[in-house]
Parts: sequence; structure tokens; C-alpha cells
Amino acid sequence: MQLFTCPFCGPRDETEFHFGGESGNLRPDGTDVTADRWASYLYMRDNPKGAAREIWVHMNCGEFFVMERDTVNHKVETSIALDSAEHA
Amino acid sequence: MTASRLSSGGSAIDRSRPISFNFDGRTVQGFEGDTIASALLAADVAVVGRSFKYHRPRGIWGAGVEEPNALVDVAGSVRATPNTRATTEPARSGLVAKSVNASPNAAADRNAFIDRFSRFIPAAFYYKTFMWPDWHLFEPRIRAVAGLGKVDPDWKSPGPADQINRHCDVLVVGAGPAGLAAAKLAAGAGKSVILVDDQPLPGGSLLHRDAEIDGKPAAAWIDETAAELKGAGHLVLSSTTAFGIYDHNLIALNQRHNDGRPDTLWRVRSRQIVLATGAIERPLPFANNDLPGIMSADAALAYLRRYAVLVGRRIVVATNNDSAYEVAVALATAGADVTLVEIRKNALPAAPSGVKLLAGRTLVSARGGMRVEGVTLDDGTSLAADSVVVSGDWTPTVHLFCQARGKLAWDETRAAFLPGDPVEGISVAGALSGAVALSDVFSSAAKATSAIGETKTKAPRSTGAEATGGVLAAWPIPGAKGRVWIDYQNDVTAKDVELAARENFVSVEHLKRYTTLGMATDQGKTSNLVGLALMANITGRTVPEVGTTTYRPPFTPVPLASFSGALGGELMSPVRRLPLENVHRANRAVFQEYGGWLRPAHYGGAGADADRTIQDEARRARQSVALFDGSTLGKIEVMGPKAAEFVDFIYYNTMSTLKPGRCRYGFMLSENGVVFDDGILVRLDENRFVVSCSTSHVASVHARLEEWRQDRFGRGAVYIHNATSEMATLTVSGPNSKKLLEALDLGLSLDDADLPHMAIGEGRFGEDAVRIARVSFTGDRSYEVSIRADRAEPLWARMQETGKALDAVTIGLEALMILRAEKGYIVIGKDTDGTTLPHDLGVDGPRTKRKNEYVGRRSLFTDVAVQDSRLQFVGLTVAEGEPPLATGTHAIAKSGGKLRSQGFVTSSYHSPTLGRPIALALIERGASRHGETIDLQHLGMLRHATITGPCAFDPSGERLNA
Amino acid sequence: MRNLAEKWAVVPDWQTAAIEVPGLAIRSLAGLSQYLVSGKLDAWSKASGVSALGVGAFGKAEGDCYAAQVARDRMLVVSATPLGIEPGWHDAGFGVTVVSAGLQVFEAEGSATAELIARATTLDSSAGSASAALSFAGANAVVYRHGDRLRIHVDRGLATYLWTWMETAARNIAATAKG
Repeated sequence: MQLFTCPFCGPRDETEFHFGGESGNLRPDGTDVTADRWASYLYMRDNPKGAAREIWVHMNCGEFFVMERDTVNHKVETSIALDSAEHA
Repeated sequence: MTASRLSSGGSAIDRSRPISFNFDGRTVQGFEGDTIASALLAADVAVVGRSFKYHRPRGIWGAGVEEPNALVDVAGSVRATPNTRATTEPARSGLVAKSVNASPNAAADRNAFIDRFSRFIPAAFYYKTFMWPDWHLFEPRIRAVAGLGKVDPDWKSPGPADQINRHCDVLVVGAGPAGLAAAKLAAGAGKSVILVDDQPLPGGSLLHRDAEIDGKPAAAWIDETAAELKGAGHLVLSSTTAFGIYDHNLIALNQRHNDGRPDTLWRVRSRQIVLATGAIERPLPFANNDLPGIMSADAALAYLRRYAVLVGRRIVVATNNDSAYEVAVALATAGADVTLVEIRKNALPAAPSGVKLLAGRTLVSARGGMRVEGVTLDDGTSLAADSVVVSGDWTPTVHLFCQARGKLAWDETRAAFLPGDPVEGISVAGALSGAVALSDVFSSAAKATSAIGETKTKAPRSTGAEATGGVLAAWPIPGAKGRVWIDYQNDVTAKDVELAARENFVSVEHLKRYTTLGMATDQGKTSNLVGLALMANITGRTVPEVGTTTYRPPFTPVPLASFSGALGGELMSPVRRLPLENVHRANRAVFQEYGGWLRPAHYGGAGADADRTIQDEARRARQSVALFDGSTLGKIEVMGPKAAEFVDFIYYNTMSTLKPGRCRYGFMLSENGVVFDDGILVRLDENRFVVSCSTSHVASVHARLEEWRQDRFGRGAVYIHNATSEMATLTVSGPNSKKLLEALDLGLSLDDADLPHMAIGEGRFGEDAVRIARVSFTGDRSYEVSIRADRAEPLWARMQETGKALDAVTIGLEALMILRAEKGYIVIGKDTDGTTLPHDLGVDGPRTKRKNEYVGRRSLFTDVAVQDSRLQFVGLTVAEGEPPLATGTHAIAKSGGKLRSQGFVTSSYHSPTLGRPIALALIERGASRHGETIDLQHLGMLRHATITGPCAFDPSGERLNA
Repeated sequence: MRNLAEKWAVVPDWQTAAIEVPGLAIRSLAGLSQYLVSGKLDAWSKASGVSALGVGAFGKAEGDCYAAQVARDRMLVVSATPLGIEPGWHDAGFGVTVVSAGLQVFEAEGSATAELIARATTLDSSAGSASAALSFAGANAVVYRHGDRLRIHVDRGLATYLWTWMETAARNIAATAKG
């Protein structure tokens, strides 16, 4: 059971969190977005081995944040609130 | 008489408290403190079980968790567990133990003949032989004769297992000399300490090995140290197994109790973990090394000193290392005739007194039937023996270290895998770290705790004689004569490993799966290293080149009850409760679970004919007035300066044009365009909306509102409050609904001019504010009256009372489902699936007209979204007199001679008001096919139906009085 | 159709319901006014006169009117008497929603309260946390100390579940103390 750090609440058990997607998957607006670009936004993910930058939400307080962690050794490096993260 | 209880001694047993229990139908005497194994040994029971595959007679090998042979199914007054190790299970009065895989019992097993055919049934025999015509034909009978213990399906736990979370600075696993010393030093550094050991008493090897610490006998030092730790408020847990290390230093413990309680699961988050898990003695490879009476040397010593059991009279001790010398001397001193067969020729420890030493000799085979009778050495010497105790050296218990992703390093002189590079937050001490001499053990404990902080406690000192660790590796030799057992519990021999090598299963992971080596309940604690060393030998590789299999939790079997804890039965998947649940119960509601809530399905009691009752409720609802508890509908508030802009983005429909005091129905889409939820949005004022989402989507809608708020709009722009539980919502629907509400005198005008359809009004009921929303899910004039949840009861009672004169009916959810289906109103997830786009439901306006951005917008213009073969929402009617279609029935079409689905029925009911079946469906191009008759098929039955619009009742909507 | 009412315990009568084992007593607490307040908490404090400093997890609240932090920009305001503040959006930059009935409040007291916490959450009660919102027996709850008692606010719909869970935990606590 991992410990994640909510930027507001501090370390909490991973069961209090939900994965929110890979960071940097910015939403393209408009209907003229190409099908490829839109499909990439909807479905294409890097699923990196090692260093990862992800969006998570702490379900109890509702804070969305960017977490940098290692998908191999599960080390959590940083947690920054979504709206103060350099996006995102 | 061979094994026997000595008249004195035994540090673990209390001779003043005799106990007796049942083993395989006979009564066995023992003392408080005995394990089942020690009591069976004392009673000279040699055969305690039958082996997994060949039904070989098996005796007790060890004295702890590593035991491969002595498994018993335990029942009786205290607890019921299959495959319990007799070596760790305390003997108790009233306990009933049964040997495994033996019928009628271990001593006389009717399947014992199987062993005579053993040469024909090597590893993978079953899978190779029973391929034709079908393995499943043979499987049940093979399973009936192979296997271990049996689960008792009728057994019920005395109660839910306790689960406790703890935090500490230092958790020490193993209360042997290293663990006790580490705990003492950590406590001295001012840290909070938890010390865990799987034995009933702390002490580990000190409980039976010679030692003197700080000038005191080991026993005194153990007691002192444990008392000191407890006295200072540290937690010392005995009979508790640390079975798994998980991420970020979470360690899981399973604690056994002796008072009938289920085991307790502890989840401990410790800043630092010190592993002092010790080492496990290995067998030596020789033919028939699995005969009853052949035992681990260390176990023989433990039985002698802890339980005062001498395992034999004429004992051969065989060893390749120094640790068996103390055992040989102790057995001789206790009165046995002892011969020590020593593989090594040179560099031997001092000659053991009172023991006949045969150095430079190897034991090649044992003989006997139900018990070992003698051994043969490599020089042809034959020795008679009623007991053979062997030490093939020690395997450090690296399991937890490896679970924590620790890498192992092969130590050639110790002939063992030891923990390699350190793992953050975890340190190792004692035999696990390769220490043998007690002074080395203590310095390893000091080293393991050195990073924790400066300690005020002096490290303990070994003041007695010290053990030495000399060893000459003795791995199995390929091609040896006879059957050399490697894995006792899964009946894997050296020949099976050789077969695996011949068939090229040389990777250690393949070896494991092909032969089942190490896959039994003991997970190969005594066998894994022996097996992979043999594989190394066969394939000309070194042991580290072959490597080990992956270590995974649990270290020893853990009852499922420990994992489930309290969360069984009604706590497993709890339903939410209505504020008026007890009122509905009193009103004879029959409850079902809908969207995570316990809600009335219908009224009239469980004895009533449910279908008739539901039909009756639906019929009467159209006639006069219906009362319905709709409290579960979502009520999520959206507030803030950009609230209107926000709901525009969230909804498919434009919502910002909504006037305060008005409601609008709309869809929420997912980014892939699929309709995710539908419901009413209420605008209370300029900057405040209430999202009335569907019952089962409250949590997910709340989460997505919060996500878009933080991701797109910024915190200051809008705020989300989930107030779903604050209000009970009581729905009044039907032609007489207005009349009923007027009689309640809620202090507001209900005239259609003042409160038109899709508007809200504020009133009062007594002291409480009520909000009335004129919205409808039935197609009739309807009012949703919301009031504080804890004040809803009097209002509901008044509604019921007032309703009597109007012939009002209280309806459950099932009747509501009929009413809404008559109108063609959808239920998301029932009438839609994970591909349904809003225009499939006939709602195309926003898609074609909206110019601003909203969730899912781009997905509505993809190639797939504009295909003309899409499934579209329709109604279906069947010919007069026919029964309703089954929900899920597929509409079928012939293409190229084959049948294919062209959609399916999503909702289907008998409508009591229309007096005929109604159905809703998603049908290919359905919107443009109204009037067409199609074929449908369900469970082999062909039906026909005509496509119509979704709305079957009051299509012009006159009854809404909008 | 099976009547699932048989499967789940009847909703207790909260006025009289009590859990009592040695060292632990739990009761339902009625009559508190509760408000969710979001936005500029300073502005809220100025308008309401209630402190903008909410207690975090296991933090110690005092008095008849106080707040527990439940998110970075949201508090649960608790008061023994109703506050004279309008629900809805306030132009000063905060929003108020009444949840007096939406959250059920339980109060636990006694020397074994720590044992209740140890069974309900993996959070270290001595370490603290900025928000009092946490998973308590699997339900999202607001948990803090009021005086020497533990207060637990949980969604009304899950109150019966939590009550049954606490009854089970209390039995386990009693059995452990005995064993």
C-alpha cells in the first residue's frame, strides 16, 4: 500500500486517491481539431517505465494535483496542486 | 518405544497443566505449551501425514514455519483451519487434528499403493498423459487422490477478524538474539518500537541453542529484554507472523490467538524495518530422505530442549556443517546412542564428546517403511537407526527482504544467498545477514540500528562459547541412485528436476512451474535452494547464475478472514439508507438495491404478488395521485462568479440562458461523446445552480465537476458542494397532484402561472423551508418537494393523510420505471450503453447549433459519430395479445445468409394504463424506420415488433399541463 | 423478489442508540448546525464572525462554534446554534450550503478511542493532517477532536453502515482488551 502526498493534506494512504490521467495531456478545444489530435487526447498514453508525471485526485478533499513518481520503485518525488503546477 | 518425553526439562511446556487432543481418531496427551508436533513426537507417532502425490508416509521434519510434511486439518472447539503446520499450531484440549491426504488415516492410507507406480508418474505426467480426449474428464478423479488438507465448507467464523493499523519508528521482525538486541538498541535511541515474532515466546534460536549473554543464561536475558521493552510501552507481539512487506514500508502481520478469536491482521507503517528473520535448516540429499524419523537437526535440538522430547534412541546425525555438533552432543547427553556422519574430512570442529564421529563420509540412502530403520554410507557402511537427524546447512530467510525488492548476493563461503545492496528503510541483522557467532549477531544488530539514531543502551555481549559457521556445500548430484526428495510437500525428486532439465525447462521460473518445486503451501522454504543448486549442477552453471524465483507475500498462509476483517456480510458493500427508510418499512415496502441505495421496489409486503402490486401502483398513479420517495436524486450545488459559464461547459445543452427559478433537462457527456448522465439543472440565482444528477452518478458527477473546476476554470471561479443528503425529496405526481399539494398549505401559489412546468418555488412546511420543483419523470403533472432530511417524516405523513381522500397511491421504484417507460424517458446505462451519443437519443440541437465549447463536443463529429448505421432510440410495439419482449432481446437481420444483430431491447414492461406491452430499444437507423416491422430473437424464440417513437403514452404531453 | 430489508440492519433510533464497551462509548449527536463554506475563507470569517482557521484531521476544536478544514478552500462550519448567514453565493467571494441534516455526527469518548481510530483509518492520529476529511472505515468522513471526545461527521446515507461497523470494531476492541 503506497503513501501518496496530497499537496494540501499531506501523506495519505493510496486508497484515498484516484488516478486522473497523465500530466501534459492538454485538451484541444473546438470542432476543427483533427481526428488524430482528438484521438490522441482521448486515448493515447505513454505509460512510462520509471519517472512519470501524473494527475491524481485526493478523493477526500477533492484536490487535483500533479505527482511525479517512479512507476518501477514507486518512489514519490513531488506533489503540486494542479492549478499551481506548471502544467499539467 | 523410540521417541519419548524425558522426565524433566522442557522450557516451553508446563507439566502442571496436562492437555489432551485428538489426532486421527486417537487421543494424544501433552502439556500446555506443546505444539501438535511436539505432543505427537512425545507420543511416538512417526507417521503424521501422507504426501501430496505418491501418498508416501511422512513424519515431522522441522519445529517451525518451514515444516513441509506435518500438515494437519484442525477442527474442534477453537478454530478450523486446513493445512495447518503441526509444528506451529499449539496443542489444546478439545482440538481435533486430522492428517492430510490420508484415508482413513496417515498410518493406514488406502491410496498408499500409488507410490509403487511412482516411476511411471514423474513431473508433468498427468498433463502429458491425459490430454486425450479431454483433461477435464480425468481431472476430478486425479484431484480426489492428490492434494493436501480439506476445507470444511460448513465452518463458520466465530466473528469477523480484527484489523488494526499502527505506526512506529522501528519495526523489528524476529525476536531471536538479533531482533531482541536491535529492538533494545532502537528503544534506547528513544524510538517507538514494535517487535514481532511468529513463535509463542520471544528468543528464537536462544530458546534451544547454548548461549550466555552479559554473563547471564540466555533465558534470563530474553525475559529481561522483553520485559524491559514492554515496560517502556513498546509493543511486543508473539505468535505473530510478518508475512508481507508492501510499498513505502508497510508491513503486514497476522497474529494468532489462543482464546478462540479469529486471527488479527496488523498493518504497520514503520519508518525503519529491521529484519532479523534468521535462517532455515536444509535437508541433505540422499535416497529416501523423506522417511518418517528423518528430521532437521536443529528441530531435534528444539524438541529436546523446549519440549523435553528425545526423538530416538539410536540416532544418526548427518551434517555438512558445524551447527549439528551441538545437536549430536545434546542428544548423546540426553541418553541416545549417537553417530555423527560428517561429509567433511578437514577443518572440523572439536570432536563431539559421547558421540561416534565418522568424518569424510556421506549418507547415500536411508531404509525403512513407516519409519526409518537405518542408513547406508558412501563406503558401504550400514548403520541401524531409529532416527536420522540431518543438517544440510542454513538458508537465510530472505523472503521479506526480497519482497521489499532487495537483491540477493551469493556468498560462496557461506554457500548461501545473503541480502545484497541495502534497501531504503530496511536493514538486516543476525543469521539473515550471514552472522553465525553470537558476538557477530549482536554487532550486526548494532549496525542495523546505527542509522536510527544515537542509542543510550549498551549493545549486549556474548560471554559464552560461540557457534562457528564452517560448511562444505552438499548439493544433490545428478544421476544419483534412488529417489532423492527435494520438495517434500509437493513430492518433487531430484529425478523430476533432471527431467525438467532434459526437456529444457532450465530457467528457474520454468523449473518451478514444470515440476511444482516450491509451489506448495510451504513455498519451498526447505527445498528451493536445493532444487536450483541441482539445476545449476546439471546445466553447468553456478547457483547465482540460475538465480531464485520471485518472493511474494504471504510468507506463510494467512486466513482469508484476516484480509476481509469486518467487511463481510452487510458491511461488505454497504447500501445508502433513505431518511424515511423506517417509515417505508412500517408501510410494508419491499426493498431492493438501486444505484447503491436501499429503496422501496414496491409496497404491500413481501407476501404480495410483486408483479400485480407493481402494475396496480403504476395504474393508480395515472388515475389520481402518486407519492414517491425520490430523495436519492443528486443535489450538487455549483456556485461562484463563473457558475453559468461552468455549467455550459459541463452540459451538452446550453444552460447559461436558464432564468433564475427555472429548471432545464440536459445531458452530461463524457469526452468521448457518450451520454454519461441526464437530469435537471436548477438555477437558484445568478451564481448558484443545483445539479440534480441521477442517483447512481452522484459521486462520479461530483468528481468530474471538481476536476473541470480545478483543471479548466480555476479555483476562484466556481465552487462545488455536494448536498445530496441534506434534503429528502418527496414526489407528488398525477392529475390530482396539485390538489394534494394545495391541501398541505405550503405557503406559495401553485397556480400554473406562478409555478409552471420546469420552475421552482419556495415554501414552508411548519418551521421548515421547502423547495418545490415542478418537474416530471412520469409525464404527469408532478412536484418534487424537498425538505431537510431529518424533518421529512411529518411532511410525508401529511401527504399520506391528505392523499387518502384523493385515493393516492404510494409507489416504489418499479412502478416509476413503468411510468417513465410509457413516456419514453430514458435511464442512462439501461436505455443507453457505452456507445450512445446524444443524437442517437434524438437530441441533436446542441450538436448542430452550439458554438461554444462543452465536454465531449469534438467526439460528436467523428466518422463513427456521423455513421448512418448508428443504433437509435425507439419504441417497439408487439401484436395484440402477445406478451412483453424480454429486455435484452436482439433485433436481427439477415445479411449474406447470416443472422446479425441490429440492436436490442433496453426496457420492456406491461403498461397497465395502455393495457399492452411497451418496449424501448436501440435499433440500427431506428429513428427513420418508424412503422417498420422487424424480427427479434431471444433464447431461440423469434418475435416480431413494430418500430415506433419512444413515447407510448400521451405523446402530445397534455398531462404535464405545461 | 427477495426483500433486501432483511439483509440490512434497521436504521437505529439515533436518539437512544449507543455503543458501550469498556473504555469506549459512542453516541449520535443531534442538533448541530452544519455548513459547507467554500471560497475566500477570510471573507467568510469577516461576514460570519467565525474563525477561518479550521482544524485538521484529529485536530482539537473548541467551543460551540468552530470549523474543520475539509479541503484547501472549503470548511465544514459547526455550530450549536444556527448561524444567521444566508446559504448561497456571497459576492464577498464565498459560498455557503447548509448540511445540518446531510451529515450525521457521532461522538466517541473513552480511553479506547485511539483503538477505534486504529481500526478505522490508516492515518496516524498523532501526525495530523491539514484537512479533517479522511476515509473512516471506508467512508469519507470529517474527523477531529472536540474537547476530549472524537467527533465523526459522515454522509447521512452511510450513517447506519458506519454505526454497524463501529459496533463490530467495539466488540473487537473489547475482545482484544480481554485477550
